[in-house]
Order: sequence, then structure tokens, then C-alpha cells
Amino acid sequence: MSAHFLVPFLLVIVCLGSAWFLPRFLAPSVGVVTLTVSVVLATCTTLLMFMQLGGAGISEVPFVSDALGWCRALYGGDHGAPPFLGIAAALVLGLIAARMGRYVHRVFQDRKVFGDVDGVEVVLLSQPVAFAVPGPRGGVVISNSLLSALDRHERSVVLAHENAHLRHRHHLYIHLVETCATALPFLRPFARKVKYLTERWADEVAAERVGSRDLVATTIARVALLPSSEMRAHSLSIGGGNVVTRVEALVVPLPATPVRVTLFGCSVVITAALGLILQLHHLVDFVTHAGHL
Amino acid sequence: MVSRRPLGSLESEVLEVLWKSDDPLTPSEVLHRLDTDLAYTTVMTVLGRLWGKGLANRSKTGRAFAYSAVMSEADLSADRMRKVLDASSDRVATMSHFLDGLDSVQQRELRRMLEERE
Repeated sequence: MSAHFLVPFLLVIVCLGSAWFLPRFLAPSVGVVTLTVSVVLATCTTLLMFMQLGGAGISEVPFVSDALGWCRALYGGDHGAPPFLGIAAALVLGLIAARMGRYVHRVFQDRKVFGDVDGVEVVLLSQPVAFAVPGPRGGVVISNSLLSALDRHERSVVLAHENAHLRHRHHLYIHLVETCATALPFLRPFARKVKYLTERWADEVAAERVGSRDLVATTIARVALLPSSEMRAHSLSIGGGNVVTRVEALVVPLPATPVRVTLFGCSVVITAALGLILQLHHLVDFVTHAGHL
Repeated sequence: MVSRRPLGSLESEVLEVLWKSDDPLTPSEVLHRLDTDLAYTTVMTVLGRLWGKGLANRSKTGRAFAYSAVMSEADLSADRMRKVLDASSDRVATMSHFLDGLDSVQQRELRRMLEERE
């Protein structure tokens, strides 16, 4: 197996690794975008690698190579993937496609279930829940038990938090990284991190709206400690993510991003993009090569 | 620039403003506090919807209505609530899935932080 399958892949994985540590120096909003872009690039690169591996391997199966007019004497091993590896890669790709399809299907089902939600909907539930429902109409679902447990200011924190999810379209980031993580399970921790960071993002927006980070911190803590709450949390809910770290983050000042971190972040993303382009180039090169023969 | 935000999410932003305010607000006051470039009529529509859902009270002040948030739980209209709940009750339970359980250490930590603030 030749190295050019792996070089872009390794490049992107290294970038992904550095992107993991960036958010602690960044405002949550920048962190979400950086991580999402890195995860999507890594997924594309990995999928392209599988495609090329599959293509190269399968094209060397004697029957297929004859059909392609492939001259095995000249080009056998040229692309460096033995047939069994090609078939394995094709199977993996099929599996990935099925898993991604299932995830997207589930997202659309959820959409249908909450399609009736139009604006603020108060539901009768003993658990204190509040979550944002994105969509063509969209809105926020809040349980009456949560409302009755909070005072006026805390209620506006909850709404400001959910509104931030809607206004900044956090569901798009979450669905993107979730789709990637469904396809490639090793990206699961990144999806979790993006989810957590969208909560932090919404917390900061809410703090700005109500004019107090302290109030947001106490509200989150109070919601989390409500009896029967048990931290039941939807991904876009006031109780989502690790509550303790969210509260802690709100009581210390926001990190000021030094210029060198910004530069580093940009270079990480650019390198990841280059890796993807390289991979794409290899694939195109391979396809034209195979097509001409 | 025309905002194309869906009415649904606008509704919760308007309610957020009502909850924050001590006094009833007229549509133009709400518009002012939203600091967006929405049309006056849009805000009026949204306030009307909140009133229709029983989430806001309104009273006549001069020529316009002034709106305030319904605070007590008893006043929230139960009919409307049930309708949404029928469609989604078990779904709400699954949607609000267990993400990150609070163990006893975290609970103590949170309580300590709350006490420090108060």
C-alpha cells in the first residue's frame, strides 16, 4: 500500500488533534466553528481515502481490470492497493453510508414530531425541561414545572439561552458533527465537545442579553439541582453539557484570544483543507488514470 | 436588511423581553428593546400570538395595547399545553435524554457554588 493514501489522512488527523486543544483559548463561538470545520474536513478526507482505496483495490480484481481494459502487466500495483483491501474499503464505505442515512432519517423524524411547535410552547411535564426546536417555524418548548421553579429573571435567562441556539443555528453545527461522528466513530469526542461548546456559546449570549454572567451561572446551577431534574437534557437545552464546567466558565472572565492563537488556529484549518485537497487530487488523478486505460 | 427569522423563534425573543421587563410594554417599546430591524407590525403580530396563546396579558393604554407576561402558572392556558403535549410527550422524554448525569460530587460542587453566590 503506497504512502499517498495515508499522507493526507495523517495530515488531517494531526490538524484535528491540534484543533482539539484550541477551544480552551477561544471564545465558544469561534471554538464551535473551528472544530466543526476541522471535523467536516477530516471526515471528507477519510471518506476520500476509503474511496480511493476501494477504487484502486477493486480495479485490480482480475475481472474488473479486464473490463476496464486495465493492463495489469503495466499497472498492476501502480496504485498500491491489493484487491482484498479494496473490497474491504468498499464495504466500510457502504456501512458508513447506511449509518449516515439512518442518522439523517432520524433527524427528519424528530423534525416531524416537533413540527407543531410554533413559538413558545409550555408543556405539562413533571421534569423541568426546556429545549429549542429549530425548523421553518421553530420555537422553544418549556415544561410548566421548570417555569414554576424559576423567577422572572431566571426565566428570561432560560429563554435567552434557547433563543441563542435558534438565532445562531446551533443545530446545524451539531447535526454536521453528529453526522460525521456517526460515519466515523473516532470523531465522537469531537461531536461531544462541539455540543458542549454550543451550550457555552448560548450561555455567553444569554449573559450578554440579561446583562449578568452571574445570573446565568446561578440559573444553570439551580435548574440542574431541581428535584427530579436528574440532568435530563436535550442537546439544545439549558441543562445540556457538563453543567459544572459551564458554571465555572461563567464565573471566570472569558479568555481573551491572543493573536498567535488565532494565527495558529487559521493555519490548522488551512493545513487540514490542504490535506483534503491533496486527497481529492489523488482521487481525481486515479480516476482519470483508470479512465484513460 | 430584512430579517427573515421565522415567527416561531421571534416569539420566544419577544417573550424574553416581556419577562425581563417590570412594566407592561407597548409594541414599540418591545421593538426598541429587541434592537433588531423588525417591522412594527411584525412585533404586533407576535405579541398578538403570545396573547392568543395565553402567555401574555394585555391592557389598553391610550391607543395601543400594553403587554405583560403571564406569570402565575395557574393562568397559563392548559388547553393549549395539552394539545402540544399529546403530540410529543413521549418524544420529549426521549429528546431530553441523559447527556451528562450529575453525580453526588458534582451536586455538592454546584451547591457550594450557589451558596458562594448568595
